Amino acid sequence: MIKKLLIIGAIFLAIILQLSFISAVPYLRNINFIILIILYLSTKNDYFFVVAAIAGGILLDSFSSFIFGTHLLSLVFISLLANYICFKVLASHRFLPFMILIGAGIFLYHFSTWILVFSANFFKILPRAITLNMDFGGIFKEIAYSLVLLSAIYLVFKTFQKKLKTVFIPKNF
Amino acid sequence: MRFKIKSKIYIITVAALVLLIFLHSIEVLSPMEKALFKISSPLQKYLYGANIKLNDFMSGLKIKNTPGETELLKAQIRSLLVLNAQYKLFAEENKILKRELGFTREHKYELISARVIGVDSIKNSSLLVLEIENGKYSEKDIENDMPIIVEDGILAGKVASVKENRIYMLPISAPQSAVAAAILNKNYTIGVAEGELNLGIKMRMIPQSEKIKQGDIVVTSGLEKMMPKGLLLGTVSKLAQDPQAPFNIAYVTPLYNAKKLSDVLIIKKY
Repeated sequence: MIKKLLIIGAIFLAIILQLSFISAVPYLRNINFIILIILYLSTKNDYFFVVAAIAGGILLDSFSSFIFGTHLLSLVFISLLANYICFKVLASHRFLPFMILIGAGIFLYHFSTWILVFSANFFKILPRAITLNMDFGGIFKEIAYSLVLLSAIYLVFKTFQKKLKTVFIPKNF
Repeated sequence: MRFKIKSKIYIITVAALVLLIFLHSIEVLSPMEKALFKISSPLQKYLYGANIKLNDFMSGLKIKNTPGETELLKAQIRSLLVLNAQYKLFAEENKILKRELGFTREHKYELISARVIGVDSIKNSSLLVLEIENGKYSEKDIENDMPIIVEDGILAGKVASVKENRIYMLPISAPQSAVAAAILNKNYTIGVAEGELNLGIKMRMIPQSEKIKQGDIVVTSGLEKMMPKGLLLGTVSKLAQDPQAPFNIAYVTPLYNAKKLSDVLIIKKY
């Protein structure tokens, strides 16, 4: 339970950081950390990812000028889809399929958000000034930066795992 | 068995989504959202301050003026100081003449101070999030399209929407932005200044006959609701002239970078 509450807290902190600080950091500003957290949780065999996606969606919608539900629906949709693909379609959960899943997840998230905003604009639910353009260049840039970051984390983690294996006493000692 | 659990999860998720959207539409979630903003506001203020400092540092690393450019800038400062002194004298003369002629009306704005605390949560959105600083006012005093200025009359953007106790600002350089503007040349050319790629402003539909030169000042023309006349937008940096086209395009450099905005003022009444 504490672990789950900590994850929700981490999502909240990631959203605040993303909105108020990361937008100025070179390279990192191209990465959406909330999608990455949700997609990562979706690949775990635990239904907590749905709760995390709902919490993340509510928080993002609260900090957004767009209509309530835009992030909520997009995040829940991609998390359910990612979970389905991960356990029903992919035969292995190794590095490369995981990366493809993350890339496709980011693209689908932006696409579904754009569809929702476009629909809201079409039905004149949103004010005239609030619109969103589908920026394919920006999305592919985000996918590339996210995959590079995840690969770097994976590489560092694997290297340290190997090096530190001999330092600590194993669990079943 | 596993299939049953899966379909149950999907049904519960859809029901939760519908319920949440319904609760939000009847404003049951409003107190929770307000509490969330109250908790996050101090942290966001601090982080956005750090964001601006980092932005300044990064742009400082990129900009390296050559000695020639530095000399040119120094010369520009000197000539601007001379002009400033002349304008101060004119302002003093103007005040005396107004008093003698009995003109008492002054353009005083009713201003609401606000602070930028973050950006909109949707990527590619150009909107900035503001929070009212003056306790005298609340979000109920703010309306869409109210002008937002910095310092003494430089237009930074407009109010795009108001939600709970947050205001969403559309900077003048944002692609969706459009402001009725005028170029302070001999003919006082009017047009619409549109935002371009969050970087600059461009004024379209300028007839070929209009004489515009680099450095001309662009201000608001006052030909739209809620927007006072004479708010500074920027200076003309380039004029795109196509002999085949009936109109020219003037590129305007804004006086403020939206990424470096911190304290702003919303014009409530003028």
